[in-house]
Amino acid sequence: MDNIFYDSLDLLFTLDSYLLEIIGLSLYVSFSALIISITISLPIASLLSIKKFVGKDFITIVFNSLMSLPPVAVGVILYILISYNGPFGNLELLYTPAAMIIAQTILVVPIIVSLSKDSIDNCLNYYQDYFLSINANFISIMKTILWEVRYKLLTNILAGLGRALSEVGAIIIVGGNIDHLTRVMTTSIVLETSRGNLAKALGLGISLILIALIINIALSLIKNKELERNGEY
Amino acid sequence: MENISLNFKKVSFAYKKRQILRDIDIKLSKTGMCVIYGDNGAGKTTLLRLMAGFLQPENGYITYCKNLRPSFIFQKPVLLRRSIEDNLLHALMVNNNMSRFSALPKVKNILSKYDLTDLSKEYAFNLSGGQQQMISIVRALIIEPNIIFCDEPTSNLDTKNKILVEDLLKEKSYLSKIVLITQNGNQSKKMADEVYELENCKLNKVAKI
Repeated sequence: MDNIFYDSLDLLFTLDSYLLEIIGLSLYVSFSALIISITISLPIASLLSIKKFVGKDFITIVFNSLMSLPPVAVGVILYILISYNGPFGNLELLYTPAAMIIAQTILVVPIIVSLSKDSIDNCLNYYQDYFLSINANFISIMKTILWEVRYKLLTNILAGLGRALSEVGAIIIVGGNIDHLTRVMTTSIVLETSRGNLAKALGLGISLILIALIINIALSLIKNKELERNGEY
Repeated sequence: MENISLNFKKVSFAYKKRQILRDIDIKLSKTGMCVIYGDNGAGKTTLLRLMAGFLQPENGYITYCKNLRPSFIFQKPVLLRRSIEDNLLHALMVNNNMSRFSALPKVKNILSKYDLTDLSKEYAFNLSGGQQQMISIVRALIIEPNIIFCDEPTSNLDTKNKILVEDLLKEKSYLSKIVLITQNGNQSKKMADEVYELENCKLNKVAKI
């Protein structure tokens, strides 16, 4: 057991090229999915909070429910859609990083939408009359509120990133876990564990935890620095 | 509607089956100070929000003159989590559809006029409650309104600032319409051109003494 642990640390400290390649692809896929998710989610959350329209409550409930989408179900449905005989087969997305990005985006969007809508709702209640008094339109309100709740949004986005980084079910189906093409940290851990290469699996696991920690710590430091500058901390 | 800024005709409003206002008739001129007083829960804030267009009446109708530029001063300051200067810029840029470049000189000008230049970069939430309320009043004025709705604007101010604000609003009332709601009936009669009492869902004009 001790050997497995020391071997895994050795892989990390020697910057094993296999490890670096997998980490690089993981970060590329997850951050791409996150950026796309943020671009889609924040306007949707703003719309659901600020605008009044028929079906608003129903759509909110749907997004809340989609937060617990089973990843393998997403994987299977996406697989059927993008497989060579599927309706989007001609796009040749199956077993590519693009397919993995799509899968992760589908899983992350409901999380960011639901959590951000709550943050925006609270802020809107406080500033509602102010916006009415200055005849603010939807775009002005959205821009103002998103800036006002930026720290809460950061927490929501980190939750989305966590979801993306730890995803394995959907991406193993649509990505195929192909060496040097679609193999990421989580799918590698599954593979190496099944092969009995526990040192590699543990090394990848530790990398995943370290990456999540580093990102969280970095963003917390930036946030606290700005709060301190504004006298809020 | 030549000399009238706002006209209420038989306006009624209820909230969750509780009647707040019934058959309110009022015509507001384009200048002067109109004070409306009443007890807690009488419906003063509701009346003001109807006047400002934040609410729609159940019955009756409200008409406004052309080119009405309203502004609202809230009972509690509602400032954004940014500097004083940015708070004023935000209101001016959004309400008056101005760029930051063209709005900044106006902001600096008004801060200088009310001796607030030293506080311009100060974060809004670092100020005292009284200072925040002063800033929110300045913010209401910077958009150059011709009618200002004031919801008990001095209730959280000390005596010195209370007098300052009342003098400021009185000065503004020579060229704009000020509609001020308050609980203090006696004080209001001193500075008002017209006084109304809101009681039992009805608005009654009160003679100034």
